[in-house]
Amino acid sequence: MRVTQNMLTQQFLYNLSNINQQISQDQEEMSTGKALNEPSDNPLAVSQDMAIQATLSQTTAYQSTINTALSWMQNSSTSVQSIISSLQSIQDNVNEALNATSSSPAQLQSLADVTQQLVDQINNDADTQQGSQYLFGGTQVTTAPTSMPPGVLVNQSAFDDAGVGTGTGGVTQSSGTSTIVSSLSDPDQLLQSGQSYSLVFDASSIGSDGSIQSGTITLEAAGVTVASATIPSGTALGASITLQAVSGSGTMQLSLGDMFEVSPSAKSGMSYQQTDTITPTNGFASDINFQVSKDVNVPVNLTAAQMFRTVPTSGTSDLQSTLTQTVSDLKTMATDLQSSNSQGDQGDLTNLQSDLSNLTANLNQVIDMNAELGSRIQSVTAIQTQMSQYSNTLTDQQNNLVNANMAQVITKFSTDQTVYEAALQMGAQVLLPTLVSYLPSS
Amino acid sequence: MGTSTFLTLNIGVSAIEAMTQAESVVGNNIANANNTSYAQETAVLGEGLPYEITPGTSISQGVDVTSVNRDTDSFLIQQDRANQGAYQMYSTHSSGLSEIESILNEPSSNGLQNSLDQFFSAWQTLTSSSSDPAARQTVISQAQTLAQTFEGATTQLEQLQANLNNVVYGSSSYTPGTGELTDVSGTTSSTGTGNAIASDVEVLNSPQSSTDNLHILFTASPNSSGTTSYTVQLEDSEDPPQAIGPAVPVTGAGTYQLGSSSGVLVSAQIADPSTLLPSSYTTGDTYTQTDAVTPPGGELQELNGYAYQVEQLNQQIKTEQSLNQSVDPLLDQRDQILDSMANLANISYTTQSDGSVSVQVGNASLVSSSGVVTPLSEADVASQVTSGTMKGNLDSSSDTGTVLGQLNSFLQQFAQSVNAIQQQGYGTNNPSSKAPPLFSVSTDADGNTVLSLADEPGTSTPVDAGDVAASGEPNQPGDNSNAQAMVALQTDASAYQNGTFDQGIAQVVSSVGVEASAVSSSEETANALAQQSSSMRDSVSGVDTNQQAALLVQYQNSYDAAAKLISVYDTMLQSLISMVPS
Repeated sequence: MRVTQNMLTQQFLYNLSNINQQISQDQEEMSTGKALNEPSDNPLAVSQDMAIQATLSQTTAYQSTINTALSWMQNSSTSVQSIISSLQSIQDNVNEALNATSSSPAQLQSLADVTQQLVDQINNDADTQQGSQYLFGGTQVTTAPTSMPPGVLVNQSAFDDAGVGTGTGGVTQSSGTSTIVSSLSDPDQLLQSGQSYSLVFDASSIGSDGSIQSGTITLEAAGVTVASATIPSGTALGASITLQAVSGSGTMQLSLGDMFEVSPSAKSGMSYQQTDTITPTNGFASDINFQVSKDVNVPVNLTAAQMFRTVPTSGTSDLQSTLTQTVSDLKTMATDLQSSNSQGDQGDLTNLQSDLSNLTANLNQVIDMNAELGSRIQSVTAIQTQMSQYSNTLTDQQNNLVNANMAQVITKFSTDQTVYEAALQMGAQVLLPTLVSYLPSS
Repeated sequence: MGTSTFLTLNIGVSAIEAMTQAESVVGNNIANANNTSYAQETAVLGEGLPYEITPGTSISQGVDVTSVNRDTDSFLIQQDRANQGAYQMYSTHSSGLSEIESILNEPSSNGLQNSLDQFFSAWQTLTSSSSDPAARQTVISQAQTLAQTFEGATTQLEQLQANLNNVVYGSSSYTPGTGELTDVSGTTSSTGTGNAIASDVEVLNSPQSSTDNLHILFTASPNSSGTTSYTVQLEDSEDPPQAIGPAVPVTGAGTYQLGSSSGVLVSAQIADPSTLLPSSYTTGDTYTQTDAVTPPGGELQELNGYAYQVEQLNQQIKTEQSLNQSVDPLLDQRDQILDSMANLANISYTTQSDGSVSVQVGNASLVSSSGVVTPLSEADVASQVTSGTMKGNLDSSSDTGTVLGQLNSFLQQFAQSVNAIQQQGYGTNNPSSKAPPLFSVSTDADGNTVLSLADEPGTSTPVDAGDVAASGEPNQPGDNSNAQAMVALQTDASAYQNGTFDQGIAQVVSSVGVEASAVSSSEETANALAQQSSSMRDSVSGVDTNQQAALLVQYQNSYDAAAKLISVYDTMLQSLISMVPS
């Protein structure tokens, strides 16, 4: 092939431009420290990098959620510990009142006052806020837990506020706080949130063994019947009753609570009526779940509804009732002592004794809740550690994908530089002379 | 038979003349050594006519430059043009794709994906502080950022696409001018902006690919038979305007060619002249109106302009050839134009026996063998152009369209999924009823999808922090189940085209990356091939300075020798003459 000067020049410039492109690539990698600058640099690695970036962003978000979760749970735990220590003090006070019959009325009065203060303290703790959110309010984070509707928490879904019971023929209400319902299941959501209901229990005939011979149970909203059931003959307290909705096919199951007592000297013609107020919990008893990892939800809260409005399995009264009762019993005792009512003294001691046993059951319940919260803190802390390791791994992986291998790039750069300089040198030598330079001048 | 005494002298003179001519060819080669469109020329020396000395014996009468050859190889040129066209296509396409890449701005920490991640992170934060107004506001802000980031990319891509289409097709504009009515008495009045004289103005021929404004002058004037006759005239945009070509009489609506074939020639669809007259016009009046036209410019017009130039050169070459004149400079010029055309599109051409070339783009004839120029239409561009910068720009434009389409379907699915979850939940503005949608989907002027914050139902104010549906239960501000459902959307593996939304974006980016990387390596290959074929072409047609220097010396030596011959023969003649007694 004939080779012309122009070809040499073009070839030289073409090669020089190729080397320049290489050097420009080296320069880009060295000055950014990244091997991936455009998607076309390595499309597969770019899509992997983007996938890692997405996961990393999620991980960072999870880490922030975990931090909030931990701070929420630790604050809750601090408040619960404060409640526990207040409860222990109340226990001490009741013990002191029980064992100091000779003490003066003033002393008892002051015990009652101190206990009242401790109860106030407990209420304060129950209203602890994190930011503007109440820790123990369930999902009702903007309402103080102490102002939630009255009543005993029935299976998370409703509060049952005990009403006054009336009985005939030797039937009496077991206690002022006895509720019609001990547990309730409302799968068809007959109870609407924001609405208050009346549950009317009417045992028109009670057998001598205490079982109900005939009766009805009706759920009403503002005087309109929502659901009702006929109590089958022979139903004992604690039995389960199914209420049928008036409109539609919805049902609601409830278990009868320990409402009434039949006195030992029972007579015939026994009956018992009681009307309670049922309020849907509306989120007061709901868990707040934080997603701390993909598909891992951890409830971060304890609810005041659970703590104060649930009757412990080993006890007979929920914490709120117990506290109210204890304060009132202490005050009664002080009053009775002042009026030297020895009859009252004996009764007061029995009442306090029962308060003490209720308190112990309630305290154990709170301690159990705190322990359960502690185990949740532990598991979230474990997830936190794991998350931070995961994040490190992802970052390493991303660096491997994206970052330029400096040693390699620098080596490549010096090679390219050598080639470039050689090309320049060669160009300067080869492109200049032609035969014309050597022709005789004359 | 004897020989002429001066035959030898004449032979010497013929050698001196031939060498002078050959040196001129060498000189011309050296002078054009760096002219890229120049093909090296070679002086072909031939023996002079034979002269019979004795029967059966003859000697030549010296030497002649019988022809000057242009050193070209039509096969190599054709191959080189094809290769240059392919290289231009890949190179243009590659730079188009790298613009798309830079608009998508991935991988980076402030691109599309980041705005998506930040949006979901805001929801994740909301799950841990569902009633915190700041966390809610963050969701709204991130939703807005996301909408704006995507809109920014969409707008830039649309701009890019418009630019690319503009480069190929150009954009013309047409402005109707004001009319002037001169009545029978000679009073002139303006009649305001008239109707457009012409539509569909296409520049058929332009000396340069210029985008200078052109004017179309419409005149309605009374004629001798008492009716009105109409003419249209093409003018340039000088002040005062200079007419280009003759005024063309118009008899009715139709397509007319205006201008001159040696200057600017346009074809225009002229409206029915009677519709152009103002209502106040009565027979006998004279009405004139001048409209302004901006030719589209663009590669299409450039290519069509070249076609006209090729045709003009064809005519000149035919004429010169028939007159036996040298056509080499014209051939060089035409080759240069064909090179430029090959860089624009995939031209193929055939050289006719009369020296003219016919040019086709794909199956569309541009310059026919009978000398008819058919400008390439926009439809032809789409169907026939398969190479050159035009194809590169068209490919980039269609890739931009593809990315826009992918972003559109992504945004629609994204807005639909987010709104579906949002509307399942409850905000704090109206905690007892389901929340309004977060995004509203609309289309912009180019028909692409744009997201924005939806308006609160029944109002024109956009949704605010209180509308963010974190809660899955009515009247429970602390519930975060709906926010969790939203967070779960980020990792939902069937959210968009069998993947997550993040993967959807990564898919868009990496498909552009795959294509850019493929086109870039094709560009390298095409560049090497183009370099190779250009070398091959150069090795035939290029000027080798060494060779020319050698020829220079060689011809010089011949010249010297011929001069010596004359000198020697002169001495011989002197000897002969001196024998004659004085």
